[in-house]
Amino acid sequence: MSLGFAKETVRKGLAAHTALGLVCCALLYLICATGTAIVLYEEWQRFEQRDAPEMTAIEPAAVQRGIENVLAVENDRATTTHLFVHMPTDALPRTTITTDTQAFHVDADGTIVMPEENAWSEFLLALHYRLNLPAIYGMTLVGAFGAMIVALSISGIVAHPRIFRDAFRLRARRRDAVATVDWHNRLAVWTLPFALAISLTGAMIGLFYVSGGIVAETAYGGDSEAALAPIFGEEAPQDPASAPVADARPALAHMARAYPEVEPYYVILHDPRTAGQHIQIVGEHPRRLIFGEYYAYGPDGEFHGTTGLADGTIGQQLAASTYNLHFGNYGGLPVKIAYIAFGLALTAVVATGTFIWLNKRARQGRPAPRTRAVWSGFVSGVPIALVTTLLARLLIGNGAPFVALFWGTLALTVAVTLLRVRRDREAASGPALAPAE
Amino acid sequence: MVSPELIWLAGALAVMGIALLRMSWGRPGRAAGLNALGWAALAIGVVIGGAVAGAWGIAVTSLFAVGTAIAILAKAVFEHPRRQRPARPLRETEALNGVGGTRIGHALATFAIAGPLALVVSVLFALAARLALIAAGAGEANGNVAVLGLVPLVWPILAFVLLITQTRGKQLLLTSAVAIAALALAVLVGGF
Repeated sequence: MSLGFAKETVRKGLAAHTALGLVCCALLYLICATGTAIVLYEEWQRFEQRDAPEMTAIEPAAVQRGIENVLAVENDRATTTHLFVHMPTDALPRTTITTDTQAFHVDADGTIVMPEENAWSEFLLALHYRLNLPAIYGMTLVGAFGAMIVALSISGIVAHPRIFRDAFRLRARRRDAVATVDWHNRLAVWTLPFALAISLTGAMIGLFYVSGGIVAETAYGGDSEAALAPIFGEEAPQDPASAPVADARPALAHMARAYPEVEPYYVILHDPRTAGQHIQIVGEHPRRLIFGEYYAYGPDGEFHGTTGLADGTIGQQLAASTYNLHFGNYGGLPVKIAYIAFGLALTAVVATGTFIWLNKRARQGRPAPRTRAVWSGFVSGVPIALVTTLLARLLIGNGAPFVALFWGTLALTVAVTLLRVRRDREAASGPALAPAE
Repeated sequence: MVSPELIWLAGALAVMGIALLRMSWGRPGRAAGLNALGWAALAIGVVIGGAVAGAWGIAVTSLFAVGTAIAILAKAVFEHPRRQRPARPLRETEALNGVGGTRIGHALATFAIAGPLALVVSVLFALAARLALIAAGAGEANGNVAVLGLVPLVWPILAFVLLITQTRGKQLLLTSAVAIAALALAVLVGGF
């Protein structure tokens, strides 16, 4: 089976594919590699802080005690505007309470046990999400690269007319350029549905500052919250008058009674200790791609309704599905393992793409040893730098300078690879021995 | 109500579909029957997955299919090649495909058109689609999500089409055409 593109279209498609790949390869490789690692975000958090209290469930009364304990710790400062209680889940069986400024693990009684220390997991997430740049620039850049994976997928299909016919043709044991091309093409073909799913969802998330910003600017007078309100619901009006802390117990009891099939995994307290405070519970729906549904409650636990992420408009359900579809959070460990395997495959596709171009140059008699060295250094440098930061987390602790360590190690790996090539070339073209007199 | 256990049937059909395609494409000649069976098994698997659990079922069924293909490819890692011909020399037409020997100004202009300009045009297109959806009664939520979803879809498609468009004039004509069509649609539905 072959796709019926004209020869000229195939040639142009290949040229576009090459140009796009060369422009995008370095950051795309970094995004794919870190994206593969961050699939295990919850597992990394457990690994980072192995002595944190774990539980399979927590009683509503203990949740309330935990909320009150954390708010009491913050009596010396302005009350947090939002308080998040992460409820124990299969992937992260911990109860963690986060305020605007800090986070604590609590035990099954709601007693504060220790501060949350997951700086490495957060560093990894920030590296993937925004390349350690400020969110508006970093996320937009990552989103743009997500869109470019879509363009690379389209150009790749156009450039390879026998893409389906050759879909299983992998001459992996050849130690030459043919093996590299086969690896690139075969992995790219079979990860195509995965690549399109994660690149489109990633681009949707990353390009939000552009697309969401322009909707806000053109239709809501620049108010981003108003643009999102039809999708994710709006914030209730604030009333700063002081009030006793809201009660999450009746809200959680109502959830268990009215929605027994839904698993609450976040309790969110908005504007705690004010007259305008209210509770939101995020509930996970089994066998759905949506990250959950928002269940709204008043300060005394009176039910106000849902937002509609589970059963509202198609747009709401689609928007709520992007996150899980992107990160592989919708089927437990088996789906995560599949995402890691396909993520590794996609990372290999990006790496081999540039090597194919370098091999082509060499076969044309125009080798580029320095470019090859830089690319080899970068390809090996990213995992080396990630492992270095993880080792720093284990040896130095939560306060290790992960960003500096990562980029420093990456630069060093590239520099060492370049130096080795230079040394090898100098050795090869060294001065000829003078004949003995 | 479709039984949730049928997701396993959907997965099994996806695995079978990939296996049949492997058999079909591994034959020296065209095997239309096997091909059709393979694609049919995949399609039925996806339909059952969708009937069992909507988008979740389709996503999981797709993972079965992709996982099977990757497993079959992994087997090839351990197979010795029957005979090894050297990589064929490059044809004239493959000479770096315009990369490397390209003038820097030309390359930058192409980058500007396929990158930022195509993004702006895609945003215009998405905004027009939003206005059209809302005018058609689809609601604000659907309209706003359409913008979030269309920008990352339209931009790469437009960028690719621009990159395979040979002349600068044609590239600018194409971007203008999409932009004018978007603006016309916006005016038509009363957005301005």
